[in-house]
Amino acid sequence: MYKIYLKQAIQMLKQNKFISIISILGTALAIMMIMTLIVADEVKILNMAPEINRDRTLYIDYQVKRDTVEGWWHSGYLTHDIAKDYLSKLKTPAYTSFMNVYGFDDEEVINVEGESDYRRYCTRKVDAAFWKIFSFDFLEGNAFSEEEFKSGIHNAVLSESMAKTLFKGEKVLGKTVQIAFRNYKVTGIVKDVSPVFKYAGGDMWIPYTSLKDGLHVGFVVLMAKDKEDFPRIIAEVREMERKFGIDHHHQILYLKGPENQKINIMEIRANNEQESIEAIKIKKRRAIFIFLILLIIPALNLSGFSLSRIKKRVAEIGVRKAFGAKKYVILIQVLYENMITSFIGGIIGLILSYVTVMWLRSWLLKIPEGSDIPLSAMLSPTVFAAVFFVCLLLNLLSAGFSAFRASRMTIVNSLTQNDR
Amino acid sequence: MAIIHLEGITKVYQTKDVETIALDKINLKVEAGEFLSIMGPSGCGKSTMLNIMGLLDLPNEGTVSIDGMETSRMKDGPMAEFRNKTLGFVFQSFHLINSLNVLDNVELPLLYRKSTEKSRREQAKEVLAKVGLSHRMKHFPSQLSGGQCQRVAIARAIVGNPKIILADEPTGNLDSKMGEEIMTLLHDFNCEGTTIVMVTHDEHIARETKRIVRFFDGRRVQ
Repeated sequence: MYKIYLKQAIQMLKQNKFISIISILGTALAIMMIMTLIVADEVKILNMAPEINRDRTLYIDYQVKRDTVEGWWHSGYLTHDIAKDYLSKLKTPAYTSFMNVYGFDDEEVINVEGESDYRRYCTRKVDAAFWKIFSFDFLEGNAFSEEEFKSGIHNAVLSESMAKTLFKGEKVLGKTVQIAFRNYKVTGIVKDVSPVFKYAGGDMWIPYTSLKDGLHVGFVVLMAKDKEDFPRIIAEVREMERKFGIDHHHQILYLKGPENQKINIMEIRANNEQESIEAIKIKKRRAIFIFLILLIIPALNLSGFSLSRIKKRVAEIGVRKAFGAKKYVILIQVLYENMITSFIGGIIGLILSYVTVMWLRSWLLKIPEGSDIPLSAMLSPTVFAAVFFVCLLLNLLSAGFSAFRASRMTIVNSLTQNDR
Repeated sequence: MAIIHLEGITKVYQTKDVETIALDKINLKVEAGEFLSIMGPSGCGKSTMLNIMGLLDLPNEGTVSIDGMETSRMKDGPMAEFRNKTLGFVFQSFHLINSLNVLDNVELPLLYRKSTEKSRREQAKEVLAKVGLSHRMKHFPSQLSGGQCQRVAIARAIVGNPKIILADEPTGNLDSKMGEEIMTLLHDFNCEGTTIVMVTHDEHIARETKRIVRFFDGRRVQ
C-alpha cells in the first residue's frame, strides 16, 4: 500500500511542478532555519579543539556564601580560596583548573619591550592543569609546567595574530612582552582561538601565579576521567560545601553546578540548587517556545499549500472511500504523502543549513574562517533525529488539519466535489 | 431472495431556505443476478437512489438491506469493509485517479483488503485482460480515450469480485459505439452472476437490461 502511495506522491509532484517546488522550498527554508539553530547549538556542545574534552568537563562559575549569624551574604564568581582550599582537593576529577573570567578583569596595558606603543588587551590567567584540559595547536614552543606555575614564572603564550600584531612579523619566541609593566618571556605561539570558546579562547595566556596580587575570582573547570564519574564529582563538591560549613562556623557555601557543557552554555544564575533547577526549566521552556514559534509560522504557510492540494483531490478521496478506504486510512495516506514532501524539503533544508553554517560560521558561530567544524557536529544522530522530528511536526502541523477534514467528508460530497 | 432491499427510503436535502425531497418513501427489491435499469429525467432522484443503495449516502428514513445485511446500524469501519467486499462502482465521469497508472487504479479496491502485492497485481492484470486493456497497464488515465477510461473503471469495479455493481450513467460520457462496448462488458459480467443496477436516461440502453424501474420527482412510477 505504502509503495503505491509513494509512487502516487512522486507522480503528483511531477504533475504539479510549480506548486511542488514552492512547497518543497518552503519546507526546505523552514527546516534550514531551524536546523541552523540546532547545528549552531550542537557546535557549542560538541568536543571541538581546543575544548576537546567538553563531554567530560564540568564547570563551576558561581558561588554564594551566607553567614547565618551575622546575616550577610556574598555571591559572584568563584573565589580563589574556595578553588584552592576545597575544589583542588577533589579526588575524582583527572584535572582541576582555576582561571580568570576572560573579559571580566580590566584590560592590561601591553607593549613590546623597548617600544612605546602601548595597547590594551585582555589576558587569560591560567594554571598548569589548563593546558591538560584544553588542546592548543602550538605553532612554536610550549606553555609552562606545574613546577614553573608554582614558581610564579613570567611566561606568556600568544596567539598567532597577537604575535603578529605585537612583533610585526618578527621572530617572537623568547622575546619579552610587557604585561601591566611586568616582563614576560614568550614561550609559545598557538594557532588563533575564537572567543566563542568560553574557557579556552583568548589571545594571551599567562600563569596567574605571576600576577602581583594573584587571581581572586574566576572559574573552576573539572575534567573527569570519564563522564560516568560526573555523579561522583558532584557528590564530592557537595561534600566540600559541607566541609566549608564545618570549617567556617555559621557560614553556608553554595557552588552552582557543577554544570556539564549543555547546562553551562545556558548561562543561568542561581543562588541555590532549587533556583538552579527552576532556571534550567525556564530556559528549556523558553527554547521550546521559540522552537514552536519557528515551526508554527512556516507550518501555517505550508498548510495553505496542503489545503489547495487536498481540494484538488476531493473526488479521489470519495472514490477511495467508496471502494472501502476507512477514514483513518485516508488520514494516513494524506499525511504520508505530505511527509514525503516534508522529507524532500527536510533533506534540502539540512544541506542548506550546512551550507549556511559553513558559510556564515564566523558571523553566526564566531568560529574562525580557518578552523574546521567537526563532521560529527553536522552528522550527529541528534541532528538527524531533530530533522526527522521537525519534518514530522511540520507535516502534522501543515497537513494535519486538511487531512483530517478530507477524511471526514461524506463520500457523496467528495464525489461531487462539493466542499461541505 | 432479494440481494438489495430498500424499504420506505426517504431522502431530503435541507438548505437554509428550501427543503427538497429527493426520494419519497421508495420501496425496491433487486434479485440476485438481475440487471436492473433505473430511468427517469434529470433531478428525479435516481442517482441519489443509487448512492443510498451503494451505501455512499444515508437516507433520512427507511432501511437498506444489502446481501441480507441491514445496514442502517453499521458503523463507518464495518460499512467500508462491507462496501469493499460486496459492491463495485462505475461512475459517469470514470473517477480514475490521474496520478496512478491503469494497473494501480484497478488495484485500488484490493489495497483495502488483506492481500499481498503479488496477488493484487495478478488479479488486476486478469481483469484488465478481460476488459481488453492488458497493453495499457502502464499508461496514465490522461493517455486513454473515454471508452478505455470507462473500461478501466469497470475493471476496478469488478476486480474484488463484488456481488453487486452499481453503475451511474456508465455510457453517459461515451459515443454510441463505445457505449455499446461498455454495455457488452456489463452484460458479460451479469451473465457470470454479478447483479447490476444501472442508472441511465437512455431508453435504448435501458431496454437491453432485464428490468426497468422508472422514477419521477422522487417517486417510483413504474
